[in-house]
Amino acid sequence: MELIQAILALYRERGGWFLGLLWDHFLLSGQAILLSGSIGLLLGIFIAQRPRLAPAVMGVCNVLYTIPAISLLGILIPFTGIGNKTAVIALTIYGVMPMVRNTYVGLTTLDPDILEAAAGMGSTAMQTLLRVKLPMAAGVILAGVRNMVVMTVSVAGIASFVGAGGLGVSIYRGITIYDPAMTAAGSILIASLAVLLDFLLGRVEKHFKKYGS
Amino acid sequence: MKQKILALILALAAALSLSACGKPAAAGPVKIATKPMTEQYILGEMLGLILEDAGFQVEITKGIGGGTNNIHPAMEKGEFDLYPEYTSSGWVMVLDHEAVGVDDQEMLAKLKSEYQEKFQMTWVGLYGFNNTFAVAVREETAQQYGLTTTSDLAKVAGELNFGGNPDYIERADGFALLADTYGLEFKSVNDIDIGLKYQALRNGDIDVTNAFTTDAQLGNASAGLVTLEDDLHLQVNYFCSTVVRQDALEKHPGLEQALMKMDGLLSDGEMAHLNYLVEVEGADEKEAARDFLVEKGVLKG
Repeated sequence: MELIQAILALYRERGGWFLGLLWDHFLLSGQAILLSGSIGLLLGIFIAQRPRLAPAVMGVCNVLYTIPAISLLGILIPFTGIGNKTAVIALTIYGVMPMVRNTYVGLTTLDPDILEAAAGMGSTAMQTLLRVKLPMAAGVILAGVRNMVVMTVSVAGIASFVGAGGLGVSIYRGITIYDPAMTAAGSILIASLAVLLDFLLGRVEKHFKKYGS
Repeated sequence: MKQKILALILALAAALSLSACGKPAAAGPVKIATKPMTEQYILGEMLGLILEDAGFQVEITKGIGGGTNNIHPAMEKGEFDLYPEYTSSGWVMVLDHEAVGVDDQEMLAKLKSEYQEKFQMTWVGLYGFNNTFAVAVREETAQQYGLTTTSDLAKVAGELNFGGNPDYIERADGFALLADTYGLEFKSVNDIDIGLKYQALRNGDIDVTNAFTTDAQLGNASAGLVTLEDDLHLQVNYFCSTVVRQDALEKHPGLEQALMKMDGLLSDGEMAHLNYLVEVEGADEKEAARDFLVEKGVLKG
């Protein structure tokens, strides 16, 4: 109870500060989401068209995905310095994996009859991809996007370890001055942001499911 | 099994109490304690080497958790004979005085008299360095803007990025007090992990950081970092000295003279460099201490 009161008091007294951090957090994870979303999508399409490359690319992504986030940040410091840039790069590397996997799986598990029909109607490879394959795989790809977005928003919380902004600042300050309320206050906002974005993407996903494409 | 353990505990307790209330062992070793930080480990070794050189047996217990809070009570009980301590730590944490409004000379004189009176302990010699708060910048920044004191920073703060460890930025007596006292309005203020901030400073990701005068990273000559004097005395001074039990001085004739070899031995820069050797370059504490004492001519090579 005391903790909850302390958290509420923090929001009251320092609302502006927390809003600033929330905005920074949104921008930071937003950049990474856009980057890993587009890189992952393109990479996923690429390996779906050239299945021989798929195991190698997926393997590399898998390995990158298993590096603990904090160590990935540490490894990047000598190359990209300290601050938002390093954080965005680390988050992007993380986000690529779920995107590649879902895009690849979505595009390679389609009904072959439909693909044959598309080819039979004289569609080019590009037309088949854009008009048939991607719309049909959209549901699976969107599930990957949701997964990636939630993860990125949450992992961005440790980015302040390398001097990046965002709600990690309040988490980290809370830890270093032994103020659990401050750590919790930051964490709650991160969770809320993740839940909100997930909800919005869920609506989009539903739309795709309902109307096919 | 239970009985065996119980018997063992009893035996141990008996052995301990026997040794505790045993005869006042003819002199015996001089028992040295240190706080849990690199600087104190090096100082503990240095004291040990000097005392051994003077013919005493020593027993060093390094890194007592909680520092002053736990070492002082143990000193009172006679579990330790001496330890390196900082003037303001003794003044505030042990004597419970206000840190402000007392000059260095006065503080030391009162430390000596009050320790003598209350605990039958005294302070012997000042090592020379003062491990206190400072603001650190790159050498080139200091040259470019002609900075020597923290007050100099006020005019140019708007062009510089500050980065500090999160607890310093958050605490009321930390960054807010610094900025208020010196009228500093930086271009930006960034939270950076304490282990990374010096690297960020060297790389130019930040231009100014909070520091302590004997921080290991300031002892790295190739880092090119300098500290700016805390000219408005935001922080009190922490001169390092040896706190020693009076009965130890009496029991071990010549101990005080030996301890006085530490007097004026170390500058801020020299202490920082020793911290750097041990903390960053991984040198052995004892070797680093010995090399320094030989270099200073206190020990023969």
